[in-house]
Amino acid sequence: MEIIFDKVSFVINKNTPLEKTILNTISFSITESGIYSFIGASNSGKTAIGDLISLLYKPTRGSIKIGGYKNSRLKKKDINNLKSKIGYVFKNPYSMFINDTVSKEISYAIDNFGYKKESKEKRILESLKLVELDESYLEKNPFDLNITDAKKLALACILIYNPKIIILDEITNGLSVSDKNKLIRLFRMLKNKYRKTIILLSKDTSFCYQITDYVYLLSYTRLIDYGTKDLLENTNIIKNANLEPPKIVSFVNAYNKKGRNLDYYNNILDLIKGVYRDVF
Amino acid sequence: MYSRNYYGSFYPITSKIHKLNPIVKLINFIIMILLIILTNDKEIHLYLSMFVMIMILLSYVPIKYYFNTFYSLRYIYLLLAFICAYFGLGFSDYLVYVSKIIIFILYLNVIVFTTSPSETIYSIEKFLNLFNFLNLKAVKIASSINGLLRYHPLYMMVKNDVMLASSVRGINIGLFSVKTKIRLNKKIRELTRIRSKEMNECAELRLYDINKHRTNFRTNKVGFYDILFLIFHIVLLYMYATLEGLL
Repeated sequence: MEIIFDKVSFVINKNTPLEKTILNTISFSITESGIYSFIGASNSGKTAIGDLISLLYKPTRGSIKIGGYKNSRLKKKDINNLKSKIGYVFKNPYSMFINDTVSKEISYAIDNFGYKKESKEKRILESLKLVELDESYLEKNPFDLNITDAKKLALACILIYNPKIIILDEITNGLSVSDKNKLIRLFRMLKNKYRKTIILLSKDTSFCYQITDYVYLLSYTRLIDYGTKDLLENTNIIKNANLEPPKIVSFVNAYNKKGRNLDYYNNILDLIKGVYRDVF
Repeated sequence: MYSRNYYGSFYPITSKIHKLNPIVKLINFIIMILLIILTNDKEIHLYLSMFVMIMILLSYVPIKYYFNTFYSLRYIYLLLAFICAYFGLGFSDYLVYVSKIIIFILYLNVIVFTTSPSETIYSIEKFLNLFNFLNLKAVKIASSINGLLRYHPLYMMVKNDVMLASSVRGINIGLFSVKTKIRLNKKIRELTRIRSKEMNECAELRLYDINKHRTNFRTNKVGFYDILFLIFHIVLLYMYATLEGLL
């Protein structure tokens, strides 16, 4: 499902003392399934991109085309149709929760789609399994969960209705290394097996470096650069955007300064093997 | 995510009205309420209306927020017209009663838009401390009044959040049945109550002082405009007292 932004600008509270430009003339296009990362420091406009793709807001200027529909010609029927194909996990997962129990929260997305009770329960358990939560969570209050479980639940709430585009805002905030590795495996499976388009909105360059196919770099409301994940190996551009280069890249750069020639690896295990081969 | 301002929520900018001391604002507001209850004098109502207009302009809050409240009371104006007609009151009397409602609502809006929740609680508490001999639970009363004032914008914010949370899961709330909408509305009210409680707890943290003197909280000092506006209200009170022959 394609996503095309054409000179999109987004301004909030226009003509008031609180007017603020969130996005300034952004253009990009996503035509294939894969994992795309929008990386930028705070206030760079990442969340606004997620909001505009998921049709929560309209752009002030420019046009957005999603799945063949242009935002200026969208009818209500088209909007409903599109929204069922897009899933968005907020930065604060608790702001997505409405119900008293985890099972009601997950099934809220499909309650109105006419599923039978048995198939609904099956889907709830499958989506919990995908995010590595077990049945003991079903009767818990979503607001009582810790941040890690809350993020997993928010993701399960999206996965249950099988959207084609999944947008994740700062999904790695508060997650441990093992949780991040599990997420990497899940996203790779969603991309390769189910041909999903996954959009990561993040500051976590290390996480994005391990998994992303394409990177868009944002800084102060503008799109300053884009390319494959090799862009993250250019530490000057990353630092100019007020971001920290991926830890693997920083290590390899420091290692190669001593006259070595180590490649950039995706993950720490491959890096260790590479260092071992190089040294011995 | 983005700032949303509904009528009843604090509008976070700096203006002359924002910088007024909240206790002086409260005293002025109480004098205004007394005046509109006690007198039907057109001159006093005219001066109060002009004063409210000046406050609205000086607050730099977009006029549309004030207009929204003014417009939302249109059925009250109609009802009042019927009541006045029923009791045989003239058009000028009708205008006086309408102006009372408008002055009260717009003045309240100015106070709410330009005073943060912490300052609102602080000012009400300080005011109620004058009546310590009645053993009032000043903190609790102040929090409750603040909760009432901010209920509508909180409700709208929660409702908006619920709509967004549904929207990102492909759900259009507009297509729900009436029964489901009523159930959802009940849920929204419950979440609003929780948010209101959290807001009061945050304000309580900001105002906290173990010796109950609230010295940790720095509010706006009494300045030139505080004294000017207070004198204006006292002059109006004096006018009323003179008209009624009390002085």
